Amino acid sequence: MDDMLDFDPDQLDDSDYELLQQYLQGEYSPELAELLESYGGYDDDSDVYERIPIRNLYENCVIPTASQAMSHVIPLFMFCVSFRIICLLAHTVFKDYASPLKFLHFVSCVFGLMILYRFFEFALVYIIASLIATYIIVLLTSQFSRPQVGIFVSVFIASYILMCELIIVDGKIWHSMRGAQMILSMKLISLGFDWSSGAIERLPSILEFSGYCLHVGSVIFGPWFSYKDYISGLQENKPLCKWWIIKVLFSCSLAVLCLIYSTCFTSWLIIQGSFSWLLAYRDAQSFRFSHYFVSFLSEATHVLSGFGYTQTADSVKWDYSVVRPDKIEIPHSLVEVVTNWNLPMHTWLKTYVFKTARPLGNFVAVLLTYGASSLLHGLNFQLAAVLLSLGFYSYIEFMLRLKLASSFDACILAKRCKEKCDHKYQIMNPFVMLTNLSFVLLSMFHLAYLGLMFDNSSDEEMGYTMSHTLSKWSQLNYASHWVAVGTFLFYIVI
Amino acid sequence: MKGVQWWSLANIGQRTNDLRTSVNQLYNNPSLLPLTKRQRKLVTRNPGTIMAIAKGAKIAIDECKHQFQSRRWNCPTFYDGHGGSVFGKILNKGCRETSFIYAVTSAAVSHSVARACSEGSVHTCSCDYEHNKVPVGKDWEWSGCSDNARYGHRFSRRFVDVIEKGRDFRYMMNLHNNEAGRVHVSTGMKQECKCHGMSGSCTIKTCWMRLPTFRTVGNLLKDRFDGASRVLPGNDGNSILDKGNAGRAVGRKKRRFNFSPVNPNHKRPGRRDLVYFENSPTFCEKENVIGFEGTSGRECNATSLGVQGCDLMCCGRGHKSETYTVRERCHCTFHWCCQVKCEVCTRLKVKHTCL
Repeated sequence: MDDMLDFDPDQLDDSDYELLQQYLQGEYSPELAELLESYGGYDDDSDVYERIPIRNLYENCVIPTASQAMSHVIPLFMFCVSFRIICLLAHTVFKDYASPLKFLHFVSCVFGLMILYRFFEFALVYIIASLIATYIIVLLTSQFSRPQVGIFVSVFIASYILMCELIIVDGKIWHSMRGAQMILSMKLISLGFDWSSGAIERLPSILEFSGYCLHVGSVIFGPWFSYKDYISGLQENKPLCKWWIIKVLFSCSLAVLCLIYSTCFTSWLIIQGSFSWLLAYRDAQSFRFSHYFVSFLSEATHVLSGFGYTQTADSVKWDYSVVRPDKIEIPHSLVEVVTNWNLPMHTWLKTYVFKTARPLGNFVAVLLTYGASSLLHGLNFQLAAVLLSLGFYSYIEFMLRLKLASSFDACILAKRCKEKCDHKYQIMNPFVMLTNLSFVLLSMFHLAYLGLMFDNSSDEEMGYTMSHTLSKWSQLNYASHWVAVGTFLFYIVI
Repeated sequence: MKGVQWWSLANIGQRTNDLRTSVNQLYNNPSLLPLTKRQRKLVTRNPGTIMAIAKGAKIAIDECKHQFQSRRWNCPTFYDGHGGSVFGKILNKGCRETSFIYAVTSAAVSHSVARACSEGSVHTCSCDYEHNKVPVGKDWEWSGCSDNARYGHRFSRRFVDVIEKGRDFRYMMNLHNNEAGRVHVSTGMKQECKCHGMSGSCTIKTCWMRLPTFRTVGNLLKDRFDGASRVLPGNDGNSILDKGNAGRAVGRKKRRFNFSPVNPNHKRPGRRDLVYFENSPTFCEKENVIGFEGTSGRECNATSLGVQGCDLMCCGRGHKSETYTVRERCHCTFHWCCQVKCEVCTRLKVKHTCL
């Protein structure tokens, strides 16, 4: 007889499937339950860390990571390609009729909505809401003061983001769509300012407006591009050519490589339990590579949907780039990191924030730029702290290097010297090289410190909290902040 | 000893095709004869697990042999129905070695089933790939799923523990050691997720399962083997024999299953510790009771003072040494580019074997 179970599984028919499932899925027999219970809780030992074999890493990490990412990205690519093909077809079919642009705006809009739904499901209403509200604001305000439209739009977007962040939206949902909202906000604000300044002559219709904002090649991962680029991209549809395909494939492969490096190899190369600064470097690098993945992805989708070329006299060059990893991994200076982190966003900040705020003074303009940037990123303490620190660090570094460069007359500015610079000591001078190298190392140190709290902890899905950030930094005794203060004092003393 | 015959599945590794048949055929498949009816039902209901179990049995045996290659007891295995089990009659004892065998085999099942789950070859895992067609939206519970470890653990419990019959102290000990083995597997497993999106937002999330290698598990279990506690039934342990009105009966007695160490100064064994109740034999001479051949004829290390050294290994009987020649590649040079040229050298080697 068997007293372990309420029934004997060997006597079951196939029809008693439920009972059998219950038996198979049930945790354990009463005996074992008691046995386990008698131990109380787990006697958790510290985990044993060791490097798993590369084959296991490939099977357990590389393959699942790549396939999971692909399952998201492939539909996006399909939409982008279809959009491109529809554009080409529309231009050939409607050639003799009126411009096909209206139809294309409509397609762009629909595809954008579809891909948004695929990624965010019904959370896309937040995006639609900000889009429609902005359009209404543009319509209303341009009635009486067109030059102020840009300001009105910016104020509205800022308060909308604050409201979503703090009150309306569930943290997890908001955190997942923050990226898309950020791209949208940038597009809306740039549109507002362009309309104010007269860079756009005619007020876009609601169809053009939403076609631009929901453009399938940039609605999820970016990049930002201006309304004028959008219109001209639709008007002059570039024929398919091999360079276009090569560019897309190149960006895609780089994206996949960065993704795999970021998720699998960083924590494989530097295993848990190593020296704490090494770990900081690892986590920061993992975060950076995840950013490169997204950036290359945005590059690929943008180009795939037929944008991001440069027109020269007789040829079209597909040379669009969003990020320059080489200049971030081995940074000449922090200024270079900030610039190359997201090139379109850098252009946006320069054009619409820095230049607009310039009349208020240089320092205020810089502060406002970093403030706008952190607001766009979603007013999260961690991001704001990182961005502001980065702002101060790069300012200090810039000033220090300016002073040093002029007093030694050497090529050690924060900006790389051109081929021919008029300093006495050129870039190949050993002392210049040494100084530049030490600034490279200093930047890498700062980056490791600033990026380390973007680890894969459980906070990640919700956005990191303030205590998380501070605890991570205090583990390293705020070393980089102290170094920055030291650099500043040095700058004042010399 | 019918139940533990599942270990002999380790030998069917080559005949893979005949196990990928339909459910009915599988149940009556001759390869499953070593299994009990219940085990057969279990694997029939969970297609794909049988391959994992066969693989698990194999890695368990390999691991046991690896861990004990330099001990007197070197985990000998028998494939000819020697006492009904692959590991021989040592299972009739209740010594350290027995506890290791139980732990390592159940850990191996847990490990390889979880592994098979994450590879997608077991369709009843709660997280197989097919049921996760649309891994989007706010509730990502996708393919790189965290339930694999739990599934492996549960499956191993169902498959391995079910053979323990009788309600004696040995039964308790086996259950405990089985569980200890599994705990080492599932605590080493960790799901790691990462978000990707514009500046740290979470537009795409990817997850993967960090599975310890079975060698890691083997090393941990070997450590526990060396520190295993000899136990007695707990003070109130006698009551386990009181089957009484067990089962669904309402007023079932609370039966304590704890073990108390023979040496009162020792810590009570925890969930991950191995336990045994009989001292091991010396494993020096041939012992028919456990079917062990003794260490005579085993190779040993003449210079070592450790367990693989000739002194300990041969139990003081002494050893004989014979020299033999080996031909090896030597004096290799690298030629640009890219050739390596070597000479062949003849070297004398000495082999020591126990008398």
